[in-house]
Amino acid sequence: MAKLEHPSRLEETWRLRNTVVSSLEQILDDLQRQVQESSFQELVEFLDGFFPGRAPRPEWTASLERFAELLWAWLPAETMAKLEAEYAGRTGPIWEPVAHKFGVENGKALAARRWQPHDARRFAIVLR
Amino acid sequence: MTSATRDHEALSELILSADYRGAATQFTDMYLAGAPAAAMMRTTVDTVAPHVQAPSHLMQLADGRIRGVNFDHTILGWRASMKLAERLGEKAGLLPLTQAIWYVPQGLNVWDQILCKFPGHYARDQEQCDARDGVGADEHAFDGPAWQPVETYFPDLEPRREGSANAQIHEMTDAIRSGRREDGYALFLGLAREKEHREALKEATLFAGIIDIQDTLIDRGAYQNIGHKALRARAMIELADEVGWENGHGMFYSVIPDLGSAPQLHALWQSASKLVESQFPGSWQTLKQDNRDPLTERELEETIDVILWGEQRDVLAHITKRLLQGKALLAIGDAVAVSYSRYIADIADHPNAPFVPGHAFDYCNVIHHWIRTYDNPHQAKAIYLEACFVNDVIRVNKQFPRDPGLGYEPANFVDWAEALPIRDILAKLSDSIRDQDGSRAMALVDSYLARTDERANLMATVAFGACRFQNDPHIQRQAISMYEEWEANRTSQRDHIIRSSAKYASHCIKRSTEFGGYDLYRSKFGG
Repeated sequence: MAKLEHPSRLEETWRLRNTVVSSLEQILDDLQRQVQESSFQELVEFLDGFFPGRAPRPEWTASLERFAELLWAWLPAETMAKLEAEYAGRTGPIWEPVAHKFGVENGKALAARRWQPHDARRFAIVLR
Repeated sequence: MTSATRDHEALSELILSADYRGAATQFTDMYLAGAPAAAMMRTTVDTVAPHVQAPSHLMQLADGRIRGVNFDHTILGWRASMKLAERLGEKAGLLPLTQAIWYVPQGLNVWDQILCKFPGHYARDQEQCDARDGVGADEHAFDGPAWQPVETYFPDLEPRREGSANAQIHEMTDAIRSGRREDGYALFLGLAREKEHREALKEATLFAGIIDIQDTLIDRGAYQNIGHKALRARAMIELADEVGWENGHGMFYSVIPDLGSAPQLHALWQSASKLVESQFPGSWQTLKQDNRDPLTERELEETIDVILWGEQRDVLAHITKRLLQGKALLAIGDAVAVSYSRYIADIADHPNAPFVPGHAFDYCNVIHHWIRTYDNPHQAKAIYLEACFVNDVIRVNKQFPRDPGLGYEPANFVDWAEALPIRDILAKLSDSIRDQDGSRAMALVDSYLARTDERANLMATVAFGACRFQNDPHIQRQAISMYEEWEANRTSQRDHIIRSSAKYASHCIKRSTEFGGYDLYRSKFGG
């Protein structure tokens, strides 16, 4: 059986990178559609699944940070304000930082940091 | 009775009555009158030793739930403060000593404090006993003084001596590990008198403390000790060395019975043992001698990445990989210490975030001291323990959502710090620590580190600034760990240790932000 020839390691890894880009963009496009099509209650139920006791492990909880960044880019200000009110109304120290994530100050700060080169299909996304 | 004897008795009485202001004043007055600090430290440890034993570190509540019971910290305060005093010099060194005695009367009988039956900082601050119905004698009851004698939960024992020293050490560590507290303590006392076996006894005591560590804190509640058994074992040894082991009974009584207390946590130790013994059959006992290579810069970054971002199974596998590559135990340990430091300095931002990880750093420090000072064939396993502990506390913090409302933004103060003349930086840093302004403090530290190679004054500023804060010996403990680990660390990234300590001092939540102890120090010593 003939052996496959390897391209250079650099070329091989760049090929992998481009393959993953395509997959990841499809995932993000789909996530954006699902977020925008979700009802407010569905969003809250999903967000509640990030918290200890419901999240499968700490890394899932920590990914809330990244999800909140996406919500600020994909949802209208009034939905974000409703989310802030939802978590500000809960008792317990864990909810206050969550409410702050959906507060307008954080939205402004994230928007100011958002980076999208003019030739890029979408803004830069932090993975974890 | 001599005047000196009367002074020491008065100090003991003030401590036992939980009068921390009175005891600290007595201590500082005695020092000014010429009493040696070590002798007064011994008096305080002897005084509290019968009253720092908890029946267990698990307490069953009336409804059947189980809660944790804090460990005694009085001895941690003394060990850290005596060591810091040597570093900070004659005058500044009196501040950590003042904080140690300020703490001692507030740290008696933690079990009863939790039940709101005795005053102290746990009853007053942690349990908020003054606010509970039907327990306060008056409005400030839990600030002291005591209204009843302090309880003893573990009566002192006679020394026991049987068989060879090696056999007795084996039996002692087995008793401690299996929770036979009386046996472990009596066997320790029997050997403590024999100078020729002292080093072996010290090493075995550290070993017993180190291997008792939780596998995880995630969703475990009270089933943890966050390294206190190891920290207290080291404190006991070094304080007994300070006063001479013939005078060290109070230290032994404070620490050894508690080493065998519940919960006993040896699951992670077993995992590390199984891994090492399966990967290095017949050679795991000599890994310390056989493995001598440092980590390259790239390997250092890889190890840091796994500890910061991996899960426990990744960490366990990674440590095995490094050992198989022939990396020296302390080279890996140095990388673990840098991992912790980078996490605290650059990733953790909530003031609560450094509190438990600070314990993991101190635990690393004890393990590194153990490896540097003694030989034990099991030492390679301890590298797994410290790496997993640091990784675990980082993962635990991931369970708490980041709060963008904190306002912790060192980047906002970079230009401000850069514009200051370097001669002003340390004074500003001291102010920032005092004001708990972590953003400015970190901008200042980073500016200083970039502009000069001077480190001794920087560390002294961080340590002294931290020592202004009272009621938590871990603050002093963390400062001395900074010194020891920075001095011993052989990586190119050791300055992160200073950065993390500055963050801990300036930004980590404090048990108290009052300055009663510091004010006493200034009034007595003019600091």
